[in-house]
Amino acid sequence: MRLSTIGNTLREGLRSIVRHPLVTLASISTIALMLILLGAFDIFSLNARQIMAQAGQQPPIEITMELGVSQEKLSAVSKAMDDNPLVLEHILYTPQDNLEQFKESMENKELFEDFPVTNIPHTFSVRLTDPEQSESFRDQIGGMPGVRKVDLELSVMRFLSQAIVWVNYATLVAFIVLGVIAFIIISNMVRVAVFARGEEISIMKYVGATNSYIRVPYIIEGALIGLVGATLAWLLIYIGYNRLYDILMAGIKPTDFLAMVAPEQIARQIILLNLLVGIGVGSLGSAIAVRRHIAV
Amino acid sequence: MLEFRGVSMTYQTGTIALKDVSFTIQDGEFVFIIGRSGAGKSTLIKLLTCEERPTSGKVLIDRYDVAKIRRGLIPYLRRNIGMVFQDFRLIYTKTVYENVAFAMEIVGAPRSTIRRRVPIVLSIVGLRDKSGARPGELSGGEQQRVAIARAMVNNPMLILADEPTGNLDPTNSETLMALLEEINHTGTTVIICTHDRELVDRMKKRVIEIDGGCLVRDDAIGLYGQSCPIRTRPSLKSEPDDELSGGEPAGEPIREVGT
Repeated sequence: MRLSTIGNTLREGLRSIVRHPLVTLASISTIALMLILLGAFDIFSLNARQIMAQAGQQPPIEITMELGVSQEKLSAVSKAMDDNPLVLEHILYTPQDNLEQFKESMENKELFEDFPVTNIPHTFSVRLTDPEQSESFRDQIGGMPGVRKVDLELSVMRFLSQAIVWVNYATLVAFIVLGVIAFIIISNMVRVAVFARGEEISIMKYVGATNSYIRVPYIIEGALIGLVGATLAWLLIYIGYNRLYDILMAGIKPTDFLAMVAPEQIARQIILLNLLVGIGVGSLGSAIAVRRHIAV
Repeated sequence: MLEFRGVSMTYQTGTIALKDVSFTIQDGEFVFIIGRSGAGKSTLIKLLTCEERPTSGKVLIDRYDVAKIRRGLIPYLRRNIGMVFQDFRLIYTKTVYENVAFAMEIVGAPRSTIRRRVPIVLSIVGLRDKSGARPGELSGGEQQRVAIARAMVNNPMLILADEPTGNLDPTNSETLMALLEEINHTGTTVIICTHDRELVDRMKKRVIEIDGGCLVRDDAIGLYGQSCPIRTRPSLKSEPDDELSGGEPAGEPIREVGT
C-alpha cells in the first residue's frame, strides 16, 4: 500500500467519525458503558481477591509446643520461621498468655483462677504469605524438636482458594459475555454506518476501490471509537472508584486486611484492560460488519 | 477491445436477461446501446462492470474474461472503465475537486499528480471555477460534467455511460455529448446506453439495439428507430471461440443483424 493511500485511509477513518456524529456518539457511549460494566466486575474481582488473600493471611495456623519445652527449642523454631520466606509473621504466646486468653473466653473465669500454668503449652500463631502453601509449611515445621502439632484451618484455606478460583471464573465469564455484547453492538453500529454511506461505497466500487481500501477506514473508525470509549470509561471508573475508596476507607488503614486496592493500582490495570478490549472489540466488530456488508 | 461472445445471462429468479449476444467494440469506438426498458441494457452494463457474470458465453474486456476474473482483480479492471450514470452518483459531502480527486486517490495516485491533473480535467469539462463548490450547489448539467471529469481523470480505456442525458435538458445534453465525443477523439472508447432518440439520430454513431435480451441490430452509423440503409457492422460470431486478444473483426461482408 502506498504512503498516500495509507494517508487517505486514515483521513477517511477520521472523517467518517465526524461525518456521522450521532452514530459515533451512540457507538462511543455503548463501548464506554460496556467497559464501565466490565471495569466494575474487574474492580470487584481485584478487591475480592485482595481481601481474600489478606484474610487468608490471618493466623489460621497454630503451632503447639510440647509441655515444658526448653528455651533452645523455642528459639530454634522461632529462627526457622524467621528464615522461612513463606512466613509473613509469627507470634509466640507463653502458657500464661494462653491461660489468660482461655479465661477470657469462658463465662466463669473464677473457676480457672488456680489452674496450673504448667499444664498449658507455648504456642505460635503464624501468618503465611500464601495460604495455599500451608500444608508444605506444616511438613517443614512439624518435624522440628519440641513441636507437638501444627494445626491448620484447612477448611478455611480450601474455601479461600476455591473462592479465588470462582471469582476468576466469574470475571472471565463476565468478560466474555460483556465483550460479546459490545462486539454485537459495535457491529450493528458499523452496519448502520455502512448503510448510511451505501451510495458512497457503491461509487467507490465503481471507480475501482479495492475491498481493503473501502473496509480499512471503517476498521480504523471502529478502533478509534473503541479507543475513545475506553478512555472515557477509564476516566469515569477512576473518578468513581476514587470517591468510593475515600468513603469506604475512611478509618481503615491501607494495611488492614479489609483494605481496598489503591485507586492508582486500579487505574493502571483498568486502562490496559479497557484499551485492549475497546480497541479490539471496536476494530474486530467493524471488520466483521464491513466484511458482511461490503462485497465487491 | 471489448467483446461479447455468445453471452447469455439468466438471473437466479429465472429471468432471462440476455440471449446469445455477440458483438465486438474496437478501441476508440463510439457506440450507442439502445433498447426499451427491460431489454437487457442494464444487464449488459453489469456484465461490463463485473457486477454480474454471464451464465454462458464470454465477455472479454482487454483480454480479461469477466466470467473467470478473480474477485480481487475486479477493482483493477474497473479502474479502466469510467462510469457515468443518469443520477450522477456524486458524493454530496465532497467538493467538486474532491469528487474528482477521490477517483485518483483510490488508484493510489501521488498527491502531486492529483493536484496537477484534477484542475486540468475540470478545465476540460468547464468547471475549473467551481472546483470548491459542492454538487448540491450545481445544476444537473454541471453535476453530470463532474461525473464525466471523475470518469476520465484516470485515463480509462472505456467510458461507460448509462442514460447520461436522462436528467438533462436538450442544451445540457448536447454539451455533454460534445464532451464525450471530444474524449472519444483522444482514443477512449465510449459506450452510451440511452433512450434519447434525438441524441442517437443526431450523433450518427454506431448503434447496437437490444430487445428481449437479444441483439437485434448493430448498425455502423445508426438511427434510433430503424436501421440505417448505408452500412451495418459485421457480426463476429464466426470468429474462433478461444481467441482472447483478437485483432480487427472480420470486416466484410457488411450485413445487418437480426432485423
